[in-house]
Order: sequence, then C-alpha cells, then structure tokens
Amino acid sequence: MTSDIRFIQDPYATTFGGFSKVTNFFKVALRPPGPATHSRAAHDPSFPPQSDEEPGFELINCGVELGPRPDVTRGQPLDKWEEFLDPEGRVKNPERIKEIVFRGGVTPTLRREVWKFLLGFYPWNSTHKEREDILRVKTDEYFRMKVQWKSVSEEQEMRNSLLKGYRSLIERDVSRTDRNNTFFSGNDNPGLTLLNDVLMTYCMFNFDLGYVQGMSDLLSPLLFVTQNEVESFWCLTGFMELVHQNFEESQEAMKKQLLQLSILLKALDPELCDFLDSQDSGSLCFCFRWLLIWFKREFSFEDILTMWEVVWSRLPCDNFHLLIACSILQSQRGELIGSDHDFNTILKHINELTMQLDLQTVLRGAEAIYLQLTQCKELPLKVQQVMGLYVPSSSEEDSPDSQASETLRLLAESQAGAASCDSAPVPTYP
Amino acid sequence: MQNNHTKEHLFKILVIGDLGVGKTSIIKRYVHQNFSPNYRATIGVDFALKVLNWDQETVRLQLWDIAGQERFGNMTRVYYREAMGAFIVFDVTRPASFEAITKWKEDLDSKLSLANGKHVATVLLANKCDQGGDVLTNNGIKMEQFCQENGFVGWYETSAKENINIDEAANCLVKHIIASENDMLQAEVLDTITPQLENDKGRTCSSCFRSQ
Repeated sequence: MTSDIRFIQDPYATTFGGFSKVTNFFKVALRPPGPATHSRAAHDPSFPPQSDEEPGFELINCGVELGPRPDVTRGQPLDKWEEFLDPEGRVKNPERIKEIVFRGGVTPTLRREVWKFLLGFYPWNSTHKEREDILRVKTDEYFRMKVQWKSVSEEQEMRNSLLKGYRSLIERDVSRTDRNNTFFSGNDNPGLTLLNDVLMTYCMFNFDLGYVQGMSDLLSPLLFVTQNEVESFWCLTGFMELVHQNFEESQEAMKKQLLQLSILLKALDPELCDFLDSQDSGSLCFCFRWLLIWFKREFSFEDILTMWEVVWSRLPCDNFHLLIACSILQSQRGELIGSDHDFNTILKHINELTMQLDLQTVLRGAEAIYLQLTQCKELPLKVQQVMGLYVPSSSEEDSPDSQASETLRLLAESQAGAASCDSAPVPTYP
Repeated sequence: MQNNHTKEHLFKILVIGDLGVGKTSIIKRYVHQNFSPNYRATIGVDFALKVLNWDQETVRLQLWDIAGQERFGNMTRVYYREAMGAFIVFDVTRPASFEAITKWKEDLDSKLSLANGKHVATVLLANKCDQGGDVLTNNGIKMEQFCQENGFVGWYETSAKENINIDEAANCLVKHIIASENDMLQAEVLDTITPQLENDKGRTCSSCFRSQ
C-alpha cells in the first residue's frame, strides 16, 4: 500500500509528479483544499491496493480496472422550441434542452434560435422583451466596434502594424475558408465580406488576441447558421469564450489539452499509449488540429454543426471534446498499432481520417467512454479532474461520486444495456 | 548498405515560409498535378508523398506542409526532425514574405541539422511568379548572392498555378540531398567506430535505407 499512503499524504505531488512540465498549471488551478477534502482515497474503503509499489511509479497506470464500455444510443434532434418557453419567452427548463441537444443535436431550422442560447448571446431565463433589448444593445455595440476598424485610413494603418497584420491575415484566410460551401463560394459572394467584417470586428473586440489562423473556421458555421452579421459575431464571442486560449501566443492551453488527452488515453488504453510512446508520439501532437478548432477539418460541414452544438451543451462533463478525441483514437488503435506506423506516418494516418469518420459512431463512442470512466470506482484523481468530476470543496459530502451520479442520472435514460450506475453496489476489493 | 541495385531512398522534406505564400499549392501541384485557388489554410502540419525514379533508384519524398502561422511554431516544429531537405517559400507579390525568409532559414538551421552536423539542403522558391516578380526586380536583389550568403543551395521562380519550375526545384533539392547523403555515407564508412555511430545517429538522419 505504499503508493496509497504516498497518495494520501500528498495527492497533488504524487499525482502530478510525472507531469512536471505542466505541474504549474495544476498547482495554480487546484490549490490544495482544506484537510477534509483529501480526495476519495482518504475515506473510500474500497480504494484498491495498487499493483505496483515501486516509488516513482506513474500512478495512473497502476492497474485501473475499467468495467465494460456500455452501449449508447443517440436521440432525436431538438425539433420543438415554443413549447419549452413560458408565456414571457423564458426557457422553462434549460437543462432539459441541453440534454436533448447533447443527445441528438438541433434540427436545422431551429439552430439559428437555439445556438444563441447555447453560446450565451441570450440568457436562458431572458424574456422575449429582454431579448429584443439585448439584440438592440448588442447591435449598437457591434457597429460601434465595426466603425473603429472601418474608419482607419490607409495612411493611419501604415503606422499600425498590428492592425495591418490582422487585416492581411484575415484577407488571406477568408479567401480559403469553406469555399465549397455555397455561402462562401464564388468570387463576389457576400458571405466572404461577412467573414471578413466579423473577423475584423472581433479584432477590435479582443485586440490583444487579434486574428489567429483557425478562427475563420470557427466563424463560418456560425455565419452559415445565423445568416446574420451581428448574431454571428456575438455567437463567435461566445464560442471564443470556450476556446480563445487555444489561440494565445503561449499555446499553453493547447499543451495542457494534449496532456489532458494523454491522461484520459492512459486510463482508457495503456497499450495504445505505450505504442504511441514507442514511436515518440506520446505527446499526441498529431491531435493538434483536432483540438485547436474542435474537429472542424475532420468532419463534413453539416456534421460539424451537430458536433459543436453537442459539445456546447456542456454535457455530460468538462472537456467532452477530449473524449471525442479518445473515441477517434481508439477507433484507430488496430490500424495504428498493427500497421508499423512511425512518428511521421502516425500523423499522416490521423490527418487522412478527415471526412472518413462517422460522426454518430464517434459521439456514441465518446459518451460510452464517459460512462465507462465514471462507473469506475477507482478512477484516478487526475482523470476526474480533466472531466471536472472532482472539484475540491470544503464539503466532504460533495464527493466526486455525487457529482458523477448527477451527470449519470441525466444520461441514464439513454443508456441501453448499461445497468443503473449510481445505485450499483460498490465493488469491494480484498 | 553498399547494395545499390535495390536501393530505395526515403527523404523527408519540409516546406516552410510565411502564411499564404502557396506552400500547400506547390505540394499539391507537385504531387497531384493540379491547382485550386480554394485550398484551405493549413492548420498544424500536413503530409504528402511523391515517388520519383532517380538513376534507376526509387526516391520517395515525404513533403511536409508546415503551417505558416508563427505562434503554432512550437507545435509544428516537432515535425522538423529527420528532415533531409527543405523548401523555403515566399510570395513574389508580397515583400514582407521575402523579408521573412532569413528568419525561416535561421529557425530551420537552429532546429535541424544532419547527422554530420551540417545544415540540411534548402532551396528557395519565389512563388506566384505568374503574378509578376516586382519584389525581386524592383529591389535589385541579387538572388544568387542572396542564396550564397544565406546558405541556400539554389532558388527558383515558381508558379503552382501555372506549373512553372516546380519539378526543376524538386530535382535540384533531391540532387543536393543525395549528395549530402553520400558525403555522410563516406564519412561513416571511413570511420572506424561505425557501430557506435550507427547506434547514435542512425535515427537522426532519416530512414534512407529500407533495403533488405
């Protein structure tokens, strides 16, 4: 039980010891809580003995026994809206809407309305009247920012290299963003001007970040769905709330996500991780494109609309996009391990999955992984942290288990073939 | 290793340069013989293969399309490893993309060298020459001199759109890669501590020998 004791004494150092490069992130984010919250290990009698007691052994690999992966079925898209609103127009049960969206996405005709809620442009509890006000205020605000860059003369711009740089990047990327989509095809398509103007205005909204490649990929579906300059802009700012760190100069958020992905993958598939390590690919750097723009290049335009709204539901846990990545990687494990791939050809194989993946299969896989992990009673702390299941707090009762079962409850309805999870007896270990 | 009859070369070649200078278009033209004005901006890195017959030997080129956005450099440069050669591309209609050339070259040389410590062979491509070469002529830049001073083995005015000089540039690069490979081979054969060298350096200098 050496590693248990070590874990209890200093769960943070123990857990993150092997990840020294990014420990600082976690140390800041997860400052040790009060003594009562020393993780489930401290009060969970079922915490299993570790199979390996060597000092310095990577805790996450210590024989985490995952149960079977449940079968998951997807649902129908959200195709009703009015009936979810009260007479003033408030969404009566936002959690129910998010569940349906997570389960099946949104039917195309409702996207324009629902996305504005999913992306935080309209609060769920706003009334019709309040939304009219919001739209008016936000329209003014948008055009105020638009005028800012519109009114910079050419001569002025000569002395503003940052703005000039953003403009030049945007110009170059607008001409190569989803040009096969009718909304952006052809040379004089007004869709191109919209892309340009919204991205330029975003630079004014967040001048420090400005424009970075990939942002045009994020905007184009928003423009396509809202068909509206102002709405697409505010939807973009909502989306960027979730992903703006991906584009920051330091790239720390990208490194952190690749690390989190490897934490998940190690718990799910140590053999695949060992193979990738053996080919110097353990950093999962070949997943960079996936994570930067949320799989935009890997699926058809139509599929991306569905995937993004599913992830915007923020269910069933944090970082669901990383579970999607795990789902894809595991679907390729046979091909990767069996085909003599090396550092270079792993990237080639992964890149060539573009447009080859079935979205529904991938999403089912990701949710099944979620269920499989949350049903595991000795799920490593850092896996819980990646999924947001473990939140340090001062209440001992507020354990990861109760949070996990809450999300599980939400999902229980869909779970064909999987026994009820929160009521399952806790397995005991000798 | 001495068996030339079955020799097959595999060379990893990087294609780098500022964003939007036409790196992807050059690779697509070279590998797929086509051109589209609507290629997407490369995110991260991409990869294409081209097979050449070279003096009765087979040369397989892995062409690595590296995104031009500077801030992704840390994430994309892991793929510099094991490269044997590089194209650095600029856009003749955009002076700034030419000015960035020395930066790209210095960065490349600082992150990558051959097993014998030398820089990898690099060819400079002045792309979009079908749209006019004002940058070159107006600035009175002496390209030959520029290449010598900056360590390029050659330069070409290219157009992916009109298919100008791309094969020629690639042949030039392959010629220099093979020459530097032969240099290294000779050095290795002459070296009496070969076994140790192979252990240490066999990995860093591309997997050129797939024979046996």
